[in-house]
Amino acid sequence: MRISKLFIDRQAADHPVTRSIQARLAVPSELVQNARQVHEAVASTPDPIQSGKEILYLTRNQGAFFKPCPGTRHYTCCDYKILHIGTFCYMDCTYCILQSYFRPPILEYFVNHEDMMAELDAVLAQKKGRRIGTGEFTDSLIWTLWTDVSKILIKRFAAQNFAVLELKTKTTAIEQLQHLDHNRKTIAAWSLNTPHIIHTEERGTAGLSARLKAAAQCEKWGYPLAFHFDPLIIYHDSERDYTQVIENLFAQVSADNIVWISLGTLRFAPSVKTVIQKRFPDSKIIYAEFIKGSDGKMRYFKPLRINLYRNIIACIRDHAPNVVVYLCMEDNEVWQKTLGFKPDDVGGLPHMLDMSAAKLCDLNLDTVQ
Amino acid sequence: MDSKPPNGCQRSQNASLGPVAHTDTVLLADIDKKDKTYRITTRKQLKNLQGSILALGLLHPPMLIEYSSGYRIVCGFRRISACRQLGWTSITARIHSADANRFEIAQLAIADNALQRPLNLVETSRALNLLVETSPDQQQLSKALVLLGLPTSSSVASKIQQICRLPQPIQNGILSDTINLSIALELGKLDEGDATALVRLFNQLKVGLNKQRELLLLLSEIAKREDIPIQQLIAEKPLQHILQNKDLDRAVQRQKVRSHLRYRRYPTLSKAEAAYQKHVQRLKLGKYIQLVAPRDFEGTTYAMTLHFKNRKDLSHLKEKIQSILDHPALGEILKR
Repeated sequence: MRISKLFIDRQAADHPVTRSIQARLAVPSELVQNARQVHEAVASTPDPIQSGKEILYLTRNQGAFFKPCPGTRHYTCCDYKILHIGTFCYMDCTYCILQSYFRPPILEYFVNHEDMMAELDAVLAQKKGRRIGTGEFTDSLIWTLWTDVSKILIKRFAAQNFAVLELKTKTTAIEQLQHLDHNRKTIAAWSLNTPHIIHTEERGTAGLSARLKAAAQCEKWGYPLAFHFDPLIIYHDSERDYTQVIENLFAQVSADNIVWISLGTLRFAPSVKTVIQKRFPDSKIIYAEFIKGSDGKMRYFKPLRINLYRNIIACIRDHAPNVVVYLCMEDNEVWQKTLGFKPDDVGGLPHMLDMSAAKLCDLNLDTVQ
Repeated sequence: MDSKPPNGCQRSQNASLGPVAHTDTVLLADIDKKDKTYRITTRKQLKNLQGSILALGLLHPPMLIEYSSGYRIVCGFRRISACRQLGWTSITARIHSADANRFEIAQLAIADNALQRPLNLVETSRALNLLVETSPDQQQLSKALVLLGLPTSSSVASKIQQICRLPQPIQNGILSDTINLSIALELGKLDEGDATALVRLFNQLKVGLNKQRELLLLLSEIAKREDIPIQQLIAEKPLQHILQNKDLDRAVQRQKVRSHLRYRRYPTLSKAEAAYQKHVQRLKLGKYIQLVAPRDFEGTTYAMTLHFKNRKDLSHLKEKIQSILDHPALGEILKR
């Protein structure tokens, strides 16, 4: 995917990060008064969502850089903290929630690193156990092509012992992670799927073997790893394919170096279905047995989810009996029937993940609250 | 009657406002049969009209416009067809010259229908398209829409405009009141064979709008998932078995078709629902107790409603609840 044009917020025009990105990208740029001008430019094209991936809007974040993960009270959330470095992504996954999250979505990056770092310093000064990630509203590593944000964040996290940074990606853009003194406070994480789903539904992303190879490389550089099987998608032979992915995963990386593996089946807001039908008319993923979940999102009928989770968890356990596996946005019934316990049995999901991070990322357990 | 064109026909000038026309006798053979440029009416039935023409003659002369090798009809498509079927060879008509203003001619064609009776959706669609194609500018178009009583809202008009471009079976479905505008537009997005099969299905089952939407959704999603045309799905044996069963009344047929398609679309969920119903039946709840499962079995909380009028009723229900608690079917329900 190529960025064809830069839109630059007038207020961010003279910022050194803006200049640096301009120099690295070397594409035409246009100064704008506000985001509305960019949204209007994108909205007037035949496929605004696609157009939003081909431009980059550089601006200052006027709001908070830290946000809670947008979980809902109906299902168990991991209490993740999002560091909002930018929005959207140039890759094009069929199921991407961001397609309907912002109207229309545009690739946007916040150049005011000084404000971000001040906020981060304040959060880290609290000396609380934190799991912080940049890969919720965007892919964490796409920005390494044009910015040093990952490098800056890895260095900052390396200088403390209370929180971990998770960089979650579907790319292999790991070059910037080499030769950094990360102090194991950054978790390199990959979203994984079967080659069939990557090929048909995750356009522009790295292939499975490339992702695993990148993960293995990061492990060699000393980074702790994490993997997210999310979204798990049910199709003919999906269980066989996911089993194969897990076997490939453990053939490439050490189970002892995995901080956690999350599982989450495909779920989407009803509005995303319309977007998928329009943008990806050949995709069949929305025509499985979906019901409306307690949070209003469409999800597979519960026994189908339970069945898939059970098979995948059994396969993971065969290779890595002790690795922390958790479910993303599921209820106690699904936890109990698939993992054999409920989050509250182990002190809650956030605690369970904090403990794993403390162990594998050498956090100072005494100060983790 | 004009069974033969008079030689040296008399011409009279039109004295009314609008494009200038003269009255003349023309050979029916000189009138283009196929041209539908100005046709608004969807009515084809000619019997009554033929009777009237036979008894009283052609009271209102059709309107024609000259073109290179004869005439095109502006108004009077049915009258001219009726005269042809009656064996006439010529008629008296009002004739516009070839260079007449097309926008004005279009308005005459529409007015001839719209000012005498309400237009149906297909006719409205034809009228809108004709005006849009011929109007010189938006201002004159807006004026004409108001004058002719056509929809002026651009969003409504643009939807209706699509109607007359839809495959004929869909248009027929609209004309027979089998389908409405929104369903017609949905069907218009489908392959013509699929749309035709759906119109036939709706027509046979006589289903209302909501059920049409549901059937359309079920069929199109199954078809997309399985990569088969909707018409093939409708032609499958189980569905045809229901549709061709003459012993079933229409309401039962509708219910069976819906259940079959829902099962096909959601097999696991449908099986779970059926199993749940079976267990509930075993509990013999009676009419004073209702047990409601969580929606789609997603949640874990069941609801029970008790209906009673007095302490005695409630006491009976207490005993019934105890028997439910002891029944193995309750265990099956809660085990899931």
